[in-house]
Amino acid sequence: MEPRIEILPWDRPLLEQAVEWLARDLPTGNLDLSRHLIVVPTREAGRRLRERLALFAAERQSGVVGPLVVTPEFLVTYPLNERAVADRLACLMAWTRVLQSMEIEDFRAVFPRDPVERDFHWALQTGQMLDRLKRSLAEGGLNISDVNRICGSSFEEVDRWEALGRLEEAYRAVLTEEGLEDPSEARNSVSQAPSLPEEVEQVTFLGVPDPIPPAVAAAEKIAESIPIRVVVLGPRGGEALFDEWGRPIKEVWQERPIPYPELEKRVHLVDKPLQQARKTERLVDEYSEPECRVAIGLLDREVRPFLGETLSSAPVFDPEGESCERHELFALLEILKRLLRGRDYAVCGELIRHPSYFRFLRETLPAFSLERLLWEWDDFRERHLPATLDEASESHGAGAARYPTLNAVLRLIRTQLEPFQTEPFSKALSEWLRALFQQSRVNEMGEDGEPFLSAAYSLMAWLKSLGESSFLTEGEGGLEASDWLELLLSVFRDERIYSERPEGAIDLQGWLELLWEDAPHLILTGCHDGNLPESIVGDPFLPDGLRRTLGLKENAGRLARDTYLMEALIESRSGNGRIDWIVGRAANGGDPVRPSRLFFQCPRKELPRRARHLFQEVASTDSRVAWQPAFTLRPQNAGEVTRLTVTQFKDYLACPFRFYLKHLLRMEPVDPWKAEMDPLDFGGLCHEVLQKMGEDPGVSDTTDVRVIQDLLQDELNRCFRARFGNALSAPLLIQKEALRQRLLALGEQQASERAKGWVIEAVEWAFEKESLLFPAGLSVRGKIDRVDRNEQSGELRVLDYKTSEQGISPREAHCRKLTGQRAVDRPQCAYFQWADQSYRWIDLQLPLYVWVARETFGKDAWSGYFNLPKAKSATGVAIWESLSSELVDAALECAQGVGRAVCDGRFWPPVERVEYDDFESLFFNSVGSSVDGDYFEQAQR
Amino acid sequence: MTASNKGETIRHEMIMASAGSGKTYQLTNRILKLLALGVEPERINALTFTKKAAGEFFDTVLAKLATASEESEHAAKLASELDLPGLGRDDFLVMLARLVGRLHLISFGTLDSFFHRIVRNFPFEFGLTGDFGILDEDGVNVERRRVLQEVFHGYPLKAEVYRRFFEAFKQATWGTEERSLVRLLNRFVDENHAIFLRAPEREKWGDPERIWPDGSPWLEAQSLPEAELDALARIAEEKPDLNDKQRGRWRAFIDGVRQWQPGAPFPGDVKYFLEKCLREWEPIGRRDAVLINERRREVLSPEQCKRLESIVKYLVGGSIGASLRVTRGIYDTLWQYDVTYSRLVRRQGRLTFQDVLLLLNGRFANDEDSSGLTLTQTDDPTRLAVHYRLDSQYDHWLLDEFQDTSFEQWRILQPLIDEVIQDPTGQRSFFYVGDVKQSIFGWRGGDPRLFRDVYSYYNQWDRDVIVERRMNESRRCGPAVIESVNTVFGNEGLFRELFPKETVDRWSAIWDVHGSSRSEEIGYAALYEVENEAERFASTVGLLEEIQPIEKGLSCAILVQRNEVGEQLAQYIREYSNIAVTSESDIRIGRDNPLSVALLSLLKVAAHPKDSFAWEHLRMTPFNECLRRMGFDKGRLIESVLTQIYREGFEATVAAWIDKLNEVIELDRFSQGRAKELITAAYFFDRLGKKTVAEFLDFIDRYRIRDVEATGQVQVMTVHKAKGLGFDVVLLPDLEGKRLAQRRSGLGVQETSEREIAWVLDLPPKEVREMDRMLHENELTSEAEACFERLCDLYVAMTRAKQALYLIAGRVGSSKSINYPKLLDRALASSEARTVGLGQQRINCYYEAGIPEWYQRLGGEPPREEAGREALAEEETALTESGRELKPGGQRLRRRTSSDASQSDVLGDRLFSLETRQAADYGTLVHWLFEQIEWLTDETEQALEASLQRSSAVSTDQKTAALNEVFGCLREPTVRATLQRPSSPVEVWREKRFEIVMDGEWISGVFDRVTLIQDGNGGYKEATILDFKTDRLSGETDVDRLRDLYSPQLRLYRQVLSRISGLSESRIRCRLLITQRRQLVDV
Ligand code: SF4
Repeated sequence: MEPRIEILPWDRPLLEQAVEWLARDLPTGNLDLSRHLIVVPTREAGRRLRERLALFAAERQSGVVGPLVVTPEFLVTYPLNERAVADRLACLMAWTRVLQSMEIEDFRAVFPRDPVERDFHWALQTGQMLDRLKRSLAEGGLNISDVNRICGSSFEEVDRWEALGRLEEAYRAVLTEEGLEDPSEARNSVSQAPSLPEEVEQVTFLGVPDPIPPAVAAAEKIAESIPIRVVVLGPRGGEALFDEWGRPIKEVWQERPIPYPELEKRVHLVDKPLQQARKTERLVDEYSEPECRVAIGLLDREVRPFLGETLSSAPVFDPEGESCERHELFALLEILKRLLRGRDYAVCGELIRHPSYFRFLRETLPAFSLERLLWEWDDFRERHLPATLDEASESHGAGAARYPTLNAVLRLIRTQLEPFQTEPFSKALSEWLRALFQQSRVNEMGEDGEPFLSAAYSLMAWLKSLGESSFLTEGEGGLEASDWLELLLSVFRDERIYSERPEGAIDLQGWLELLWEDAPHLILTGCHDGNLPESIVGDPFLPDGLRRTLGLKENAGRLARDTYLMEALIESRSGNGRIDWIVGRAANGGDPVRPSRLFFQCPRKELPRRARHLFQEVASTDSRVAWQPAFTLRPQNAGEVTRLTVTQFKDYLACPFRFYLKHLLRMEPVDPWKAEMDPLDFGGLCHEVLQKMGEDPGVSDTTDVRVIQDLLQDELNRCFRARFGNALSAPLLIQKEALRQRLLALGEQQASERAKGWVIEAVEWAFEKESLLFPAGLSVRGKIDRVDRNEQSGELRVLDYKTSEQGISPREAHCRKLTGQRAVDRPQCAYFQWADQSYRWIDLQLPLYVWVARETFGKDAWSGYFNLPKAKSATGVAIWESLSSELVDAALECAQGVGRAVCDGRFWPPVERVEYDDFESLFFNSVGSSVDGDYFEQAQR
Repeated sequence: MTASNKGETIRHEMIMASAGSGKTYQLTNRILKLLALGVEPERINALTFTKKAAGEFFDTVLAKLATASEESEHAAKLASELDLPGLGRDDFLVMLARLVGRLHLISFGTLDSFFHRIVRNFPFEFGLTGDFGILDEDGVNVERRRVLQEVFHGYPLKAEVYRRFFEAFKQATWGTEERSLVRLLNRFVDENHAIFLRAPEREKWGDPERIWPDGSPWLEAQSLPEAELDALARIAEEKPDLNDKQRGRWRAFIDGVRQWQPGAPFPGDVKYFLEKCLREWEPIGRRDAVLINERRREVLSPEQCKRLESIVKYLVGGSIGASLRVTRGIYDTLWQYDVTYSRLVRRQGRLTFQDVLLLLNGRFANDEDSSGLTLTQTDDPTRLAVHYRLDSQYDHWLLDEFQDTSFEQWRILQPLIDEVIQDPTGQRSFFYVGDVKQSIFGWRGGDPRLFRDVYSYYNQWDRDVIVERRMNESRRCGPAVIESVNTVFGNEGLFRELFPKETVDRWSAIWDVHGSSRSEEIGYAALYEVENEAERFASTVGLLEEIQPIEKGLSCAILVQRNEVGEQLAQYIREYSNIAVTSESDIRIGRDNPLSVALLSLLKVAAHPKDSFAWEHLRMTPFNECLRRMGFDKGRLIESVLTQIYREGFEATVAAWIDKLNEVIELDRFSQGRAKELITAAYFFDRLGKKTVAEFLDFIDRYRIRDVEATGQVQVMTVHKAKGLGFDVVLLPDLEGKRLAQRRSGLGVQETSEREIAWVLDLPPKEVREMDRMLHENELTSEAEACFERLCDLYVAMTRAKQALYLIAGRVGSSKSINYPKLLDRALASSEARTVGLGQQRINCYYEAGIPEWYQRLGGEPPREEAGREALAEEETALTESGRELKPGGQRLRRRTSSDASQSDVLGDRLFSLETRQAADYGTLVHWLFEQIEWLTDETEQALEASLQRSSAVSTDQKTAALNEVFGCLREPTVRATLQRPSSPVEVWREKRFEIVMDGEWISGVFDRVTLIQDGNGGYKEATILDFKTDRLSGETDVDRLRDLYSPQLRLYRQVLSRISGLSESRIRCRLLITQRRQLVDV
């Protein structure tokens, strides 16, 4: 029997006509279509049809039984469970196996160059490409080996395809051995001998302009026993425009003019995808209730994200669903994959920040606090810079008290990873997930319960497939758990999650769905050449030229089909409806795009006008707005100050406001990228080593350079080991080496200082003074690195170790002579007169040390720096020779000033320009204008 | 196509087109001519450098065709321009039709994208793995960090490799900061990786044999000459006529030399004599030198000369020796980096455009085998393969901005062009156009010498293979501007005086006197000289206020050399005037305003609660109020934000918090704009598939946007950005800077004539370089090169002006430095200055051409933009009017599936259990078996077994189990009874789908099995719904639980069946068959 083609006139939308047409032969009452098989182009089209059928029946107070609504794919896959068809996972695995075991020399025509590493990752990636190739060919009912057969021997790439053919053979052999069949090949053989469910008595192709060739082949066979009707939306009496399967005839349609109504008014030119979305929004906003009135055609997926989840007047619904790749479960497994691969400490950090994981932790660990855990995680990282989970868990037993939560969590993570080494992968993963989600009911996971369920279902379906197939598990010995996971993710990633359509939503339809859309107003975004019609120019395997030869879907065919579709969309809205076309001029990345060729399907004489309209320059509609801050900052009151450390004075003198931020609010950033010691660590470590030197009587008393240096080196090694473990990263090794050089140089100096009679009296000498000098309730604290006494003269000196890059002169570091008319912008107490000159205090550290020594020992001491800078020549003690008693007193006066100011809460006004501004990121133009100074001052009272 | 044009061939052509002389015009006309001659559009490959320019070509071609095919007058004009007078409207229409019909095949694009296309289609040939993608700048940064991390952490494992790397790195970073190595290494790689990629061979780095093929006298003395120092010290002490200061100098010098480590910079005390000695090098050699020591002449004794000579040799030699070592160290470091980079990034298919180029050139350090495809030695098969896989064969090549083409790019194109040139039919052509005077992209590889080299290469055997044309008539610049350009750039004598010979020779070869075709407007050009930066800025504002370009509808640009100056200047103008100004430099939206910074703090707190900076900052912002209202403490904030990030992504998270902020304060328009941009940026980040806050912050920190293109405002931009643009008025207030002949900083590189790198050297200090012939020559070449490029910069800057050009430079005074102000002063300034008043300011004008008051004659046209706005508004209203009449399409329903009715919560524990999945499959199988049964007969069991045999989808164990379970049921009498055909007329439905609308909801579902007893009138008497449940049970109570669970579903089935069959619900019986128990349960 020949299929019978019937035209539904295209002056109305397809959907309503289709329903009427299906119902027309049926008695009133029930719509019993259970003997019908209806072929529609896409899943969503089927959905729309069934919905409309249900509505139609509801008008008759009834329901619909049947029909079987399928896509053309069905005809070549039914009945599925009668064949052992390899699923995607099995296909990939087979390719992977072939690629890993092949002798690459035998396939030089395909792989002229060796890949970097022929590891699993490479094999999987390459396998995916070959899998895609095979499926593209299968759309035309072809195998790889068919290509040379069709192209003949004069074909340029004959060797390459011959080699590809051999790969295909090997691939097939792997599958056969497992009793499996390649899905495309299975489809081909089904198409030779198709079957249908036994109740089917009538097959209808309904609005399918572009069925895949194997499905057509199957249909031809089916038509021998079951009547087939082909229903096409088209011009009245236009049967001749279509072939017997309802496909627009290429030669007819590719030249056919499309009657755009009001093209100049309805085709909108804008700049980029963002502007396309904005334009769409404006058009939708014309309706107060846009549902069923407007639908959006998404021809360019780049526009999709800019449309958001809702427009201002309605939510949007994307029947394409969301890719599993964007789902949190995918993210979780992706983290797990990397954790399995490298066991990185940083990846652990990602794991504990994943909501599913921290929920699990809370359910598992007593009194768990995520905040605490994250704090410990960062603190530990900043101190110890661990690279891996194992380093982190090994080396820090001593830190148990500081990191109780972290240690527990790391232990848990490690324990949880163990089964991946010992158990079959699918079991290990399933157990890992079960443990994680043990307590959670999916509905408790909030409104995302639905998507979560479907993501979880498809994941588990794949995992089960992975675990069950003997073929897949056999090779397990060779693969790491992370490889298995990569394989699993490669198929999971392509799954889609569909959510329910929200009420009142606007649909976002793909091009092929639009024929089934009956909203009278269509907005087509992304009408660019390349999307509309979709065109392929250039391909590693199947360039357009080859596609033509092979009879695959090619550019000319798509043009014909899309011309038909466009005209159908236009015509079916001629009575009630309207279409707006939105054309951008550039892609997100700035690449120019061109309007669709379909716009030029018109009588020649109209071309120039159209060309001018479609290629006009697009004026930018964005306008510039002058810079304006959204708000000013309002620092909160941080409470009273009761103690100051000697080093804090410097900060107050530099800028009272920043002092407040730094020392009262204790603002301190975390550097998430820290990979080496910062200057503070560097100095700290140095101090630690030097303290040991000072405390060791054997060393502090010797003039033997070697003895001192040996100790310093030993201590350095010990400190590094204690802090960073044994496996140092490159930056740490370099820093350690740098420190070693400096300490060696210091050792020499130490020996010579000792020779000059200086004996170390105390190291890390801490003091806290409540003195009449300062306002009541305020104490001054500090820790002097080192106090020396000269065994000959009995003189004292207080020293501070300095590890900055250059050697520093104490005087220059403490006060500065004022020259010219430098702005007087520091706190008043910073300024002082000395020998008829004006000076400004920068730092008070050493004078305060001298003062403390005076209070303690009853006499003034020398003071200075023990510099250990980079250059060996600058290493040594630098004494502030000119620091007299009077100058110390001047410094004390300044310190009193600061003390009073701090107690009075005077932190405003700020100093606008400082040398190093840790708070730069908070200020724009000026500190004064960025902070609400009045509020701040009020708050301090 | 008219007959007269057939058979006409088209010549190969090179056009040297001076600024504004109509380069695009030439190129598009060439395309049009090809089309007119009947060439298929897809056989034309027109390539340029920017995406924008590529888009414009096409638009221009199309616009010209459209106009010409509409009006005969235009057609005639175009025909004559194309030199094809026979063409008429219809011919152009045909061409237009052909062009639009082949849009998808036409590749007018960028060179980069063309090369990208090639590589993309040959992944295996290039040894690439996986999907292919281009890395943008941000991507490179991210990858670099990853690679460095790998480099850092990979090392402890392999001690030997590590040791080498460590030594290398130490050498390479000699004398630099030790405490932020990571940043240092990052910068280091950033600066030098490109050179490494061009010269990946170890022997090119710091090899004395290559640098000094004939040996270098300096390299002999590299060890500390103790004896000489001692001797020199003794001489200095003993020399009678020295004073203390002078003697001190010598002591310091000798100490300094002793302390100095080769590679470290010379200490001041060493430099003091070193420089003097180098100046007196010959006399020292003759042993009769005199040095100035502490402002007094000191005659050196012959012995002193001799000792000093050795010491200086040591200093120079040691310095060069250290340079060589450091260079090799740099190489080793880069090599390590590149090996890792290649493995982790490049060969995984993530390439930069630079990588693409090198790949096509077949040069990668770490590719031991270079088989596969390289395009540079294209033989026929490869070329055919390229055509074939690209679906294209190009007969006609048009290359734009050819002066910016790099040698690597040319090497790839050359074989393809060779083929064109050698084509005997004369049906193929090559055309290139550009302006060597505008070669300002040398820093990224542009090689202006190619322009002439290519010409000579193809013309070497046969003159006039390529025809040369020069175009020097500017359609952009007015006569006054052109006059100033001619005066500056046509003064060869002055150039010879100021610049290196090589520079001048090159310039003279390309220089032609310019003309202007805009004779109707004379325009103006002037040189102002002012005291300092403040005055330059002030006079810029003064000029703008005086001219009021925007009011007069004139476009106006201020061109600067560096972005930072542009920023400052724009800020200054905003502060001191009311002139609308936009700065074309990139905006960092994550940093430039309080909203962004606060939002980023919020995210930071969520991921890193230890960050007290972020937390306290957050509390100073209105977000604090948001948190208060929501009752969020830090802990809640963390959970909420992290959850949202993982569930919905950064875009949604950022948007949500901006919404929350909006409830607390009203955002001004600017901040709203930034908020939107942040959301967009977050969207782009989400697309990278990343979820960590740290990466997001890093991304946003680097994320930049360009200010919207603004008509109606004064634009501040760099000269580089202005290339290709023209403005009515151009101001150049940022002309200061170092001398023009200063080599670019960085490694010293010597190129061969084939543009191969001959050697690389981390250069020793300048005083040392000058002592060595080779290094000195290299330096001179680099200087000449740099000088040429700087002249190009100025040329580009000046030729942006259409009507008026203002050069605002600092006073040159007695400065010897040959920089722009010096050049302009010497070239343009007359001795007499005219004083110009700009508001309060009085400025000296040293050069003028044209009419100073050129702008006064212009009326106040409104800026174009406004007109555009109105049109837009009009269009909007038109749309609104027509919108309302549409009748809505079909109604949409909420959807439910029948099983929703009995949905229970799923426990995670079950959800992720493999057994659950297995049970589900098993259930499907049991269902399927039951579905096979129409009515129970004696053959049923056999039939089931047979059909199960055919199905190979499940394991044998499961099959047997399922079969047994079904058989078990079938043997149960109650079950048998329901499955046997009753005596009355009956209809049975198996697995029947239904669609129905109930209570406004659309319900779809499937009946497992329904038996309907017919009433003989086409209706039914009664019906039974049977539903198979395969749940695994334990204990008696479970049956009740199941019934409770499934009764909503079955009640729904009953309603549905009632509606469909017309039976009342009371006549419909619902039963569950619990297969495991073989038990029937009524519901
Ligand atoms: S090793 Fe030292 S610094 Fe690290 S946790 Fe233990 S005690 Fe703290």
